[in-house]
Amino acid sequence: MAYMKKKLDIGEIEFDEKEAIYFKFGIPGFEECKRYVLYGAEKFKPLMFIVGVDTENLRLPVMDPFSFMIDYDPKISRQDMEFLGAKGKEDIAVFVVVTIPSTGMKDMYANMLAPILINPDTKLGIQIALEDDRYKLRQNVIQALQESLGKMKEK
Amino acid sequence: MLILSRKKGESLIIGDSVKIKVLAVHGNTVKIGITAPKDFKIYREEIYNVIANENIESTTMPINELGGLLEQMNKLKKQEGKND
Repeated sequence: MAYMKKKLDIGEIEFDEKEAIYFKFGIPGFEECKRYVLYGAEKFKPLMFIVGVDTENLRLPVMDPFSFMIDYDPKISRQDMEFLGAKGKEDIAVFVVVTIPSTGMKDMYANMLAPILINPDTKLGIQIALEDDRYKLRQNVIQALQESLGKMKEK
Repeated sequence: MLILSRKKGESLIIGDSVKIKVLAVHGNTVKIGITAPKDFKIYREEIYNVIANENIESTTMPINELGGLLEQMNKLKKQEGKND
């Protein structure tokens, strides 16, 4: 077993190196790091982290976009599907990067224009850029949830 | 930087697998067609840079306490459910 430990500002995490997801192009801003693991813990819910394996102290806070924007519908190109070795959307896990400004949780926003796609079966990942004017670069998470719930009620 | 001139319909070949073709020129906009293997990811540079900046910013924000975010989200969901 190739267990690895990483000391991060959010605590020490341990994982099996075999779980690493390969981002061939890295993640924009972190091109040098190709392998990442997905880390979640009860105390951080609903956040999870994409943690860099080949670098120190790199963790991107991410969320399941469908947990606050129920009708989120990123268009994934055929090329990206093929790249991930996915047959359909159901093979892909989607995450969005969230930022928590110093003003607090209420102002937390998510990047809906650049979802991170992971195929857990092939262990391949990619961050894509959407051209979709329905979505924002900085989407307030709480506001999106309120709007989502409002839309559901109308139906 | 290598600088070349191309006319509409002309192409460039990079290495053994990438082809870039000038499809159309309208004023100061050039329409480009790219043929590349599927494991080449192509981004518009300015969009790539915006994403990179957002990613970097997200990693620098301290995560101290989540201020009951999950509870707040669940409460919202429950409230809406009751109103039906």
